[in-house]
Amino acid sequence: MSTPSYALRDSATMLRRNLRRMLRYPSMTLMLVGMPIVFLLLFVYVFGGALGAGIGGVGGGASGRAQYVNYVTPAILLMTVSAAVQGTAVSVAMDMTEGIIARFRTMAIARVSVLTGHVIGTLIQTVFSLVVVTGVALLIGFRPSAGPAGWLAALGVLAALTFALTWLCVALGQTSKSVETASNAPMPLVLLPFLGSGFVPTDSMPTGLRWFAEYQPFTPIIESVRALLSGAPLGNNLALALGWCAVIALGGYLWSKKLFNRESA
Amino acid sequence: MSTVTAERPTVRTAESGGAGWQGSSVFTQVMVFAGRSLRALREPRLLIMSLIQPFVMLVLFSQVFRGIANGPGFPAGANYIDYLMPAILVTTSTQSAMGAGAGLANDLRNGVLGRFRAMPVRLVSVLVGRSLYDLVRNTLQLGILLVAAAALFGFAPAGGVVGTLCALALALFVGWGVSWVLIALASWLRNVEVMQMVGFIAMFPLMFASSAFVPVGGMPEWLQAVARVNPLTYAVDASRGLAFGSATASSVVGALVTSAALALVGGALAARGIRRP
Repeated sequence: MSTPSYALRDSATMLRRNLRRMLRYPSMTLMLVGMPIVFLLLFVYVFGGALGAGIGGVGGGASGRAQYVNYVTPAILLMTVSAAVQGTAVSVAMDMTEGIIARFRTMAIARVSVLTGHVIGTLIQTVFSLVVVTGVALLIGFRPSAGPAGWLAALGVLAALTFALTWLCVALGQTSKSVETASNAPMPLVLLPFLGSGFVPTDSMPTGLRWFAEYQPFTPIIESVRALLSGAPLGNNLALALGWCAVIALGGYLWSKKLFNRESA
Repeated sequence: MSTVTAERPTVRTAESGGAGWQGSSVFTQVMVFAGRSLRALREPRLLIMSLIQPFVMLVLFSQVFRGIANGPGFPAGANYIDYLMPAILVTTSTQSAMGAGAGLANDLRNGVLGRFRAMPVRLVSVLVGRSLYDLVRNTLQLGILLVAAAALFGFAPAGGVVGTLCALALALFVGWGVSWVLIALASWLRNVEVMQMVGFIAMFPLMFASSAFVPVGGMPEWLQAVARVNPLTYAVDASRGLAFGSATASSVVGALVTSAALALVGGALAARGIRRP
């Protein structure tokens, strides 16, 4: 058996371990799915009437709310990804602090498989979360005009983002001294969609904040998902989105690998 | 073989209030316990941490979601920051009350209260001391938020400095009233995690299903019905009225009486709960 096939087999074992943990402790998954749903309901029903009035020139109230649910859902899907990867940081920190990694290091298993198991496990969990959140959004009036290709492309962008942020959170989980610290470390990832075009158009923001919102990584990702689901023109957003995902993924992977190898030295 | 029996001396505590009680006055006890809690403020990190969430909300709502001012039912000619800040004062004050409950639950869990029981002190003074500390911490917290809102975001309501200070005082009183309910809960539950969960589950809907961030008229009808019976709506409206210089006596008195009632009921329940072994 070749080295890559050993690595694949070990990664599959670690993935199975992570999926078992998710099934055994469903409260974490429920919390990670619950948070975006709460925000979706909050923004559509409480703020939708007022914020929807400033989008697409519609009136406030019910018409504004109907318009706003289509505008805000892509941001909530992004928040779903951010919430799911927060769980990764926590589970990696648990592994690092509880001593299981030290045991794995004494075994004849591919080093990378420990981290890869976390990443693929999070990808599966996130896809499940995205399906649930999209279902709730459709129930409360989300009406995208995308065809199957648009849906698949949007899922692809969200999967790329999940992959990138998961590697970043694997690194954050390793740097955290405790599980509590690990749960707080990815907080900026939850905040960034708010400081982008996720909830309101950037041109409604004050100058300094608008500049930040237009150039931060989450804005082109949100705009890409929004355009793919609504059938609007993409512009250069998709290229920027995938570029950001690649940079974050590579940075997160290299950082994670460096930390993991340093720990074992 | 003779049996030697040693009589256990009777310890007179403040609770038993016997004739042998020579301890300090209740006022002194309260001040000592408040001082003990206030030592936490020597570490400014705790105060800074408690300011992060309200400050993030202040920035988000005043800068990112300021378009709410264009929505239905928003008062004509009002800046969103002027509309928002009295609500931030009330919601931050009530959220700080959650800290009061969790802090007491922590004291009860780590055995500090067991030591106090062995001392000649009234256990109620532990609660009052804790409550005073939370009031001082809350005043500092809200004061910093007010200065930040005025300096960074141009908060300058029609009621001027007097109106703003009255809104601050009302927010503090509302928070103090709510803190007694949570102190009572903590004295019975004695679990930090449960206290935090109860606080979050109660606060989240109360905060957003109210007139705090958007006018009630802009909500769906079913949510308007909830917001109109939400006690936080009355507190926010009274605080906002004071800041705008347009408060009605009934709204302010209503908020004060409700808070005082909460403090009385909470205080009575807490006094009973803390005496439990």
